[in-house]
Formats: sequence, structure tokens, C-alpha cells
Amino acid sequence: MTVIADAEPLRQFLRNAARRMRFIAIGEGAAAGLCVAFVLALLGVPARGAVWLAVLVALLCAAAGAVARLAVTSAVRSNIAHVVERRAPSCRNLVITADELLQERAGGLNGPKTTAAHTTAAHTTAPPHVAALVCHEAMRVVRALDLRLLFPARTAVIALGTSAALVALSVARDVEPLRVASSAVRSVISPDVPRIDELRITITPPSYSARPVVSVRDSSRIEALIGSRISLQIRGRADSLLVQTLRGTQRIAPNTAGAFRLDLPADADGFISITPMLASGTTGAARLIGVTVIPDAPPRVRIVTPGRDLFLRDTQAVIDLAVESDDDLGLATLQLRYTRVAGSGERFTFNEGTIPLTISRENSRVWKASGRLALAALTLTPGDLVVYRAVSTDRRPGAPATESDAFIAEIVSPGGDAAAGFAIDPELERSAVSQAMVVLKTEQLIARMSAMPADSLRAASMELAVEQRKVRAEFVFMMGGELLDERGHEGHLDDLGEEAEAEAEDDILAGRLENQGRAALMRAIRSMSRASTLLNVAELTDALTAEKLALSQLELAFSRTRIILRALAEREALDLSRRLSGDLTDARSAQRAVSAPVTDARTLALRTALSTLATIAGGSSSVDTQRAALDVFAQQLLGVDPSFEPLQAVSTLVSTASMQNDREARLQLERAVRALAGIVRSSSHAAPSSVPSLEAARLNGALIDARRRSAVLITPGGAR
Amino acid sequence: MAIAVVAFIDPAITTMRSGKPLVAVVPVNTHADSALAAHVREMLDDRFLVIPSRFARADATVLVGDALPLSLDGVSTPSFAVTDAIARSVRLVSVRAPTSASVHAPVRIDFTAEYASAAESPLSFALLHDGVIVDRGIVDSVIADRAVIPASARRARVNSTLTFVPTQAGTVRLRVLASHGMRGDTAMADALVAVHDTPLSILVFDPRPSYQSTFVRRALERDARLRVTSRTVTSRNISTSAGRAPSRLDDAEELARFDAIVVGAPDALSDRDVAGLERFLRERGGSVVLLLDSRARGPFERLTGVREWRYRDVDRGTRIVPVFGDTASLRASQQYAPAVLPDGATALARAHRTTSDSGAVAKGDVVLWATSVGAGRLVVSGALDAWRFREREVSAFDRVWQQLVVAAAAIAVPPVSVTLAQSVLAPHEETVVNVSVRSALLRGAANGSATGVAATRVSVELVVGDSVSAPIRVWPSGQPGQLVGSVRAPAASGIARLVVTAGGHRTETPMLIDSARKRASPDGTDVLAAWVATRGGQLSDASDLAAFPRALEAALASSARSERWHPMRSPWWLLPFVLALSTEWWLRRRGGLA
Repeated sequence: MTVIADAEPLRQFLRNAARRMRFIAIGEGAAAGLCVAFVLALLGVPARGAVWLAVLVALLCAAAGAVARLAVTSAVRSNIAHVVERRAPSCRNLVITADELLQERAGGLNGPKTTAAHTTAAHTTAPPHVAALVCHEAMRVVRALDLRLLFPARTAVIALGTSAALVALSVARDVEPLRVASSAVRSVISPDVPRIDELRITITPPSYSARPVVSVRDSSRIEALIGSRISLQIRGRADSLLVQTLRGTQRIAPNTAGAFRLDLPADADGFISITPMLASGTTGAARLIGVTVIPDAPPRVRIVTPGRDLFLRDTQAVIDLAVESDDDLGLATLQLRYTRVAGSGERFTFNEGTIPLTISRENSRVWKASGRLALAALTLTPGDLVVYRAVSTDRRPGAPATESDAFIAEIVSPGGDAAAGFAIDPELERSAVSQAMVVLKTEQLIARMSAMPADSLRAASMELAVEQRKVRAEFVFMMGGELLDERGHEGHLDDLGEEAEAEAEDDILAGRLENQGRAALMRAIRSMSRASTLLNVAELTDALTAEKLALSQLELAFSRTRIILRALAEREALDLSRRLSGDLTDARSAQRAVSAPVTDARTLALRTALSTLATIAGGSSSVDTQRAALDVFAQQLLGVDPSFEPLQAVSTLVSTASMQNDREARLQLERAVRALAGIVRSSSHAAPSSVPSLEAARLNGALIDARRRSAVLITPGGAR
Repeated sequence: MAIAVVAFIDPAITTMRSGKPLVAVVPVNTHADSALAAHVREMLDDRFLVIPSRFARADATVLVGDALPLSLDGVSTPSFAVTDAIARSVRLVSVRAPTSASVHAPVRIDFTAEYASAAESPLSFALLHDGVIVDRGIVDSVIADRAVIPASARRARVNSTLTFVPTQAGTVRLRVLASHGMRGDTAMADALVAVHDTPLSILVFDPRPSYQSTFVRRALERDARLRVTSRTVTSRNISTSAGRAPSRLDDAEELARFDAIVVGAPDALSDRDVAGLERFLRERGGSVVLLLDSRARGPFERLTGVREWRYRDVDRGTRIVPVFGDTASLRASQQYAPAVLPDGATALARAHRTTSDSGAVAKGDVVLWATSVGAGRLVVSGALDAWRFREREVSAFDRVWQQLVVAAAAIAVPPVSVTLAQSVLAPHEETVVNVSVRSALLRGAANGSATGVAATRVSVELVVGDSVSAPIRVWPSGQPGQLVGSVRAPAASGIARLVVTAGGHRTETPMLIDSARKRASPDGTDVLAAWVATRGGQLSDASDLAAFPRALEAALASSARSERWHPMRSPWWLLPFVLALSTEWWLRRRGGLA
């Protein structure tokens, strides 16, 4: 067996070449990966400010790129002799031949065992001396080769360095020292101009919401859950900051030189305008942040089973109940409450209680519950009823509970059906009961009022006012009253027309309706109106007096003229024959001034804003000179309707226009004008269609007259 | 010597001879077409004797422009026409803007644009106010009869609307800009709108209390475009009124203050009331809205012309859907509609109805409709209980009635109306002004007499800033109550006001004077082509005029005509004159003379 002395040095050379090529591939792949990371950083992935996350993303991209590049070049590197030959033609195929001879021999010696210092030529197809000679010659040739020249790494190194530098820059822009340096440079360039260099906003939601703290930087719009704290950390060149919100204006002094901190509650939609100021009074460009406050919705609760009123004959019946409730943030409690209503005539007694529920929580926001209402335990007698409803609360401290629709289970009295014509309409009875419920709830609220916060008490009182109005609405409808159409935006369907009510009252007072029951009903309605008004301002004691008076009048009305009440439940037609039947000597004409239409303040403000904006956008003076006016205008615009998103968008367009060059700014302002015009257009009357000419109108009229005349002439009755 | 003497005398000779044909090149619009006319004149100058104005004895006339001129006097035959309308990529055919508009509602600017659809690029358009684009739009596809129009001349026409949102009262100049094609060819036209804050005057009159009328009145009282005066008669001699409302409807002078009258419970109107309303419609040119709230008959029916009514009562309110325009709808369960719509009446809204058997949607009764009574407009509502469905969530009760009454009041004839043929003019440009005096115009028409405006003193003045021009003469146009005149724009650019006073009424009409004004160019090329074809000529495209002179020559018969000419003015006389002088000099030299 012939030993080939040059085999190992030749193999070593090829291994070195493959290693160098691998390093170059890693460099190239990493460079590509870093480029991808840089592009992602420009696109905002990860968010600005997350330095370590940005570094991690860059490293991952680089690693992925390197692995991908290695995978792509693996086939090439396995034929390294070919690569060497291709790059060094002077080898004249010797390296490839020698490599193949060595591989054949290695195969003959079972691979790994051939890693000995010398390789024998005994099992090669080529004669050993030939193999030795080839290897010798190949070794001689490769000794003259320099791997650094053969596989230059310069390009890969430059690419890697450049991409790494780009990534480093993108990461470093959020690193504190660089920001400070940038600020310092700007200070040198324009020393007398106050400015805001950095605006970091931290939104801390209320603890009960279990939502994470959110930090954003240099944002022009934020959203916060109601009750959140908005913390602003501002850095810039200014001696003080002028902060404007819908609540007012305040001046903020720096904590340290150029650093400010401000905490605001997120309690209503609005904006935050921050204007840097110098001690000399010079102001810089203002930053405007639109604030959208997301309300914490009350929980929703409903009784799924049975979900309707029940009229039962069995006083021992058991009612299976299923309740569902959900909330946007999380539920705190879920209960099923009932009120036992017993008694006869108009004398009812009320007992309240709670039915135990088995609650299954799908998650913190969606709960389902089931329970059983055993009537036997309530000792109901025929004619009694139980009113039950589900009550749910969310986690917001002091939040009022939400109630589901209330359903009744009534024990029907024997023979009750036969007396339908002479009995109170069940709907009316419910109304009477509802008024009693209002009285009961008011009493309960008065009992609890000392332990309640003022705002919760007011909210609960206003809810009672809504209930009172609903009860009142039923009776007003029964009396033939109408819904008032002059409701404001805050109005509700249950707000009723005083005029219609008063109209009917005149009839009663005039004695045309000799029906004491109806008169009592009218007095009850008026008492309910007073009670509702008092509940709206949380005057509970006085409201209770009015409620009780209404109840007593209702009882009076029901006891006297039940049969009348049944007839009144149907829709009334106007009795025109009753008109003009009074004593005319007492009647007087009424005269009032023409009512001037009141233009909606919001529309008026929007129209004024549109005029101002169009003037600025179309003005001949440079936008640059109007930056301060634009900032103020953007604030005013946001103040018109802070929660209206299209207006927020227009405000953003205006406020950012002041940062553009003149041409871009004008284009942006023009877009803002069009958007604002669209908003004004949608809130105003539709554009009237074109008016026909006088000639056309006259011609049309003459034509119609002529056709009518001819029709009269040709009809037998119209012949002259 | 003889030549010199004859040349000094310069005798004129009249003979029959053939010369250069005489061609009149006439720009249709002296302002817009003068450049193209100059180009045509230059092109024809070599072969023809060209004059730049109308000349009845010219051998031919070439009209330069898009349409026939208003007057064809002095246009000789054969007639040719040259237009650049075909070559233009885009053209605004018309722009229609109201001369006045309320500040409380957007203003519609309707326009018609024509463009080369072969270019297959979208037509974009914009509305500019003070140089700012306040509205814009784009048209991607149009309906054009490509089958019959040659590919080279494919032109599409589109009607569209832009909207201007006024913010304050005053005269507003708007510019419609249409852009088309790869080169971004543009066409522009100006419009002038007088934005006002003056409400329309409305009377709501109820001969008896009516829920329908009450709630309509409340809706109208909330509209800033209207000033609502009302009277509700609640009993004999007892009424509730707002403002200075007339106590009866038969007082024409009192009613003339109002642009529109809304009548609730019209079945309670007396014969005299109905006669008063008819006078208001015919002699005032106002609008009347009848709000029926029951099926009761009455004298009011003679205004409507309805012979038979049809009543429907549906359990739940059916939507009353407008026939045109706005999609806002009423709702009513009791519907009272004419069995057959009267002659000339226009359906405004129909009940939305589904047939019960097949389930197919059928056209419902016309519950809301309008007709003309003289120059006035009568609107009748048979949605008897629409007021029951007036909640915003249920129907657009307020919006429908506000829009309907505003539209009705807007077409009421003003005491004096002024119409300008053009309200945007170049300095010194002249335009036609038409003045209509309502009292003479409508009273004469209503009485069937041709009483003019002799008894009414009419004065017309042009006011620029604080200076007032000399009175402008207007002449009776042949129609009673109508006068016509001509007004010339002043030299200074800016807003001028044409102030017309007649019979104690005064009206101001704004005019914009601007040398850079742009105007829509109405499409008259079809008429122009037909007209020149009947006069032995043809219409030529300005972008391809190479063959035009030859076509013009071919159309002109080479005819000799009697012509006075001066033979001694020919330069050729110089040759014999110089030759004679040279010969004389040579002979004198030969003879030894000096």
C-alpha cells in the first residue's frame, strides 16, 4: 500500500477553504437579516422605545438570515474543490482530480478510518504512484494560492457592518444619550425657539379593569378607559408648558431642567394641547393630542328562562330560572331578586328577597346562572304575584347595579277569567303596581342614602326618575296624551308632551267629562311629573311625597271607575263634536311672537370653523406664518365635539399641516377643508334642488288650465 | 413723360374681371374665439381676400366657434365653420348654480361636461372657492353611443353635481374645474351665488286645529331657512296666532307677504278662503301646501282637480317614499290619494306597498303630489296621520316637511325678478338683462289681459362700490310685465350689483367682472354643422385645417365681377418707364447731347 504524503495537507487546504466560505455565507446572511430588521424598525416593529426588544428582533433576523444563507450555499460548499478550481483556473483541474482520488481512497478505507496521517493508494482505481503524483502536483499548486484572495470577505464584511450600523442607528434613536445629543444639536441650531423633543404618554387603566399599562410616544391620539390616569412625560427646551384641555388651561413648571411631568384623569373625551414656552414669553409649536375616553359599559343581564310572565293556578309550583349576564370588563355579582306582592283591592303588601343562584363563569366577563323559584315558600294566595328580576354589578367601585327586565308570576284567582270585562286590565294593574314599586324603591334609596357617595345617589335617583316617567307614560297614553316631538338630543322616548296632557286636563276641568276616576288619574299623572322632576335632582323626600300622592290618586281612580279604565286602554279618537261647544264669551284669542329658529350650536361652530379654515387654506400668506393660528384652530375644532372621530381626523390634519412645508401644508389644509365641509354638509339640511324658471311654471300652469277646461267641455255635465 | 403724366392722373377703370374671393372670417364669441379666428385668417390670407367681420356681399363666411351666433344677419353664403370643440379633450357644456342660496343649506352646483371618451381616462372635477378645492369627484365610466360615433370623435357627456357649503352671507364666486386625459386637459367655468341669511316667509293656516298641521308647523319652526307665521282658528272668532298672521285667506294683499302657505285641515276652508288661495297661486305665484288630515270633502278640491279619491287604512304605517331625490321618507297608516292623478300633476312620494298574493312589490298610491295653478304650485299631502309616525327613529317627518316646504317656497315668484344672460363677465363685456314685474306679469295673465308695466315705474342701475352708473334702459319685450335691456360691464374688476326697483320693490343681482373669467361653452356644434351644411359649407376641426382652404376654394364658384381698378398702380409700369428713360439717355449720348 502506497502512502500519499500530500493527501492530508491538501485536505486541510480544502477544509480551510470550506470554512472560509462558510464564514462569508454567515456574514452575508446576517447582513440580509439585519437589513430586514432595519426595514421592520422603520415600519414600527417593534414599537419605538422598546430598545431591548429591537435588539432581540435584530439578532433573530440576523441568525435567521445566516442559517438561510448557509442552507442555500451548502451544496456549493460540499464541492469546495470545484469552487477552488473555478476561482483559480491555474489549477488546471488538478485540485478536483486530487480531491476525487482522495475521496475514492477514503471510500475504499471505510471512510472515518481513513483519517490517519497517511492515506494508502492500494484501493484506488488509479495507480498509487499516479495518485501520489497528482496529489503532489495539486499540493504544489495550492501552496501558491492565498485563501483570502480566493474567497474575499470584504463585501460580506462591508454589508454586515453597514446593516449592523443601520440597525444600531434605528435602535439608538430611542436611546436616551442619543436623544439628548439630538436635542443639544437642535439647541445649538435654534437656541431661542422653545420646543418639545419628546412626549411620552403612559395610560394607567383603573385597577379594577385589570388592563395593562400602555405607553406610547409622540402620539397625536390616545384612547383610555374612563377612570384611567394619563401621565405625560415631556422633555424639551422650555421654561414652562402651557397645557390646555377642555377643563381649562394650566402652566406646568419643569421637574428638572427641560423635563416635565403631568398627570390627568381620563374622564371625558377631549384633547390635550401642550405649548412650550420660554421665560421671555416666546412660544413654540404646540403638540395636540386627541383623547378618546372609552366608557365602562354597565353589565347586561337577562332572564333567559322562562323569560315571560307566568299566570299560574298552582301555588306550589316551582319555576326554573336561567340567567345570563356579561360585561365588557368583568362581572362582580349576579343575583336574582324578587318582590312578593300580596293583598287585594288596592292594598298591596310587598316583601323582598333573593333567590340563590348557581353561577357558572365562562370567564370573568360572561356568567351564566340557574336557580329555582319555589312559590310554596312565598305562601302566595290566588291574586298574589311575585315580581322577579336579575341584578348584576361589574367591578367598578360604586357602580350602580344593572337590572334585567322584571317578570311576574301571578297566581290566577278562580273565576278571574270570567270577570274580564269588569276587572282591571292586567296591564293597568301592572302599572299600578309599578307606581307602588317606584314608591318602594324610593324608600329603599332613602334608607341607603347616608351610606352612598353623592354621585352614586344621584345616578340611582335619576334611574328612579326614568322608571317614574315610564309609569307616567303608560297612564298618559291611556288618557290619550301624545309623545312630544320637541325632544332635545338628550331626550327620551318616554318624555311626554305637556301640551297634549294639558289639553285633556282642560276638558276635565271644564266639566265636560264627569268622570272622577279620570280626574284622579290626571292628578296622579301630574304628581308623577313632579316626582320625576324631583328625582332628577335627587330630592328624594319630596319626590316620595309626590309618588305617594300619585299612588293614592291611582287607587282612587281604580276603585271608582274600573270599567271606564278598561275602555280607555284603547286608542282614543278626537271627539270633534265636543269642539266649539263651550261658552265663547270666556274664550280669547292667543297671540305669540314668531319663534326664531335656534341653530344648533355645534353646526354653528362647525360652520365658523369651516370659514376660518378655508380662509387660512386659501390665504396668500405663507402657512409657516400661521402655525400658531393653526394650532389654536386645531384645539378649537376638537373642542366642538371631542368624541366625534371625523372631527378628530380633521383636527389632526390641521395640527400636522403646520409641520409641513408650505406646499404640503396647503394640500393638507385643503383636504381638511373638504373633510370639514363634508361634516358640515352631513349635519345641515339637504341641498335644495334647482328651481324651475318662471316661464316654465307659467307655461305648465296654463297647460293644466287648458286641459282642465277641455276636460270640462267634453264631459256631458260640463258641456256649455 | 406720357407714362409719368398718366401715372399722375391715376385713371380708374371699371371692368368685369376675376379676383381673389372675398371671405369674411367671423368669431362667434369675440372674447373666446378671437385667437382661433386670427389663425384662420392667417391661413386663408394667401388665397383669399379676408375681412375680419360679417359682410353680406362676401363670397363666403367662415364662422369660428362652437355654436351659431345669436344673430345671423350679414352672414353670407356659402358658410363654413371652424371649431376647436372637437379637438378639446374636455369641455364644460353648462354649469347650473342658483343665483341665490340660503346660508343654512349646502348649494348644489350641477354641471354637464363633455370629453373624449376614446382617451379612456377618468374625468375628474373639482369645485374651487377662493382657490381652495372644496369638493371634488371623479367619473370612471359613461354611457356613450359608441356604435354610431366614429372612434376618432367619440365623446361622452356626463351630468354631475358638486356641493358648496356656505358659511356666511355674501356673494360667492365658485369655479368648476374639469380635468381629463393623459395631458391633464382642463376646462373651467365660473359661477356666482349670492348667499343670503334671509328666511323664506311661510304662513301656516289652520281653519280648525289639526294634529298634522301642528306638528308640521313645529318642524318648520325649527328650520332656520324659514320664518313661520301661523294662525289656528280654534273657535268662531277665536284663534291662536304667532306673528302677524292674516285672519282670513281672502285678503290678497296680506297673503302676498308670504312665499308659501301651509293649510292644515283644508276641508274646513270656506269658498272665500279657497278663492283667496287661488288668487295667491295665480296672481302672487306663491305655493300652497294642503295637509289633509281627514277624508272630508270641501271646496278646496276644486284647486286640486281631483275627481275621485282613494282611501287606504293599513294597520302599521307604510313608508311614503319620495319619487325623486332625497331618500327621506314619511310613514302613514291612513292614506288618501287621488284615484287618478290629475292632468299635469307630478308625483312627489308614493306609498311603498307589497301585493299580498304574489309578494311582488307594486307601486303604491301617490300620497304626496304637486300641480301647477297658474304660476303657483299646489302641493297636496294625503298622508293623513303621518304625524303619528313623526319620531326620528320611525320616519323623517321633520326633514321631509322642511325640504318640501322650502322647495315650494323657493319657487314662489318674487315681486321683481332679474335674470342676466351672463353673471360673470369680462370688463366692458355686454350681456342681456331681463326684468319681470310680478304684479303686471301674473295679474295680467290671470285676468287674461295684456296689461303691461306702464303703470309701474322700473329703474335699473349698475352699482360698483359706491358709484352708481347712469340708468340702464330696459324695453318691453312683448310679454306683459317683462322688460329686456342690455348692460355693459364696467372696466374695473370686482363685484358689481345690478339694482332694479319696480313698484316699491327693490332687488339686487350681483355680477362678477373679471378679465380672467371662465365660462361654460354650450355645445352647439351639431346645430352649427347642420346649419353650414345647408348653406353649402362644412364644419372643420381646428386641429386639422390643412384641407380647409382647398375645400373653401372648391365651394366658391369662380365668377367674374364688375370691379373698379387702377391700371397705373401696377409696379410693372416701372419697367417701360425705366426703359424709356434709358433709351432717351442713350440717344442723347449718341447725339452728343449731355
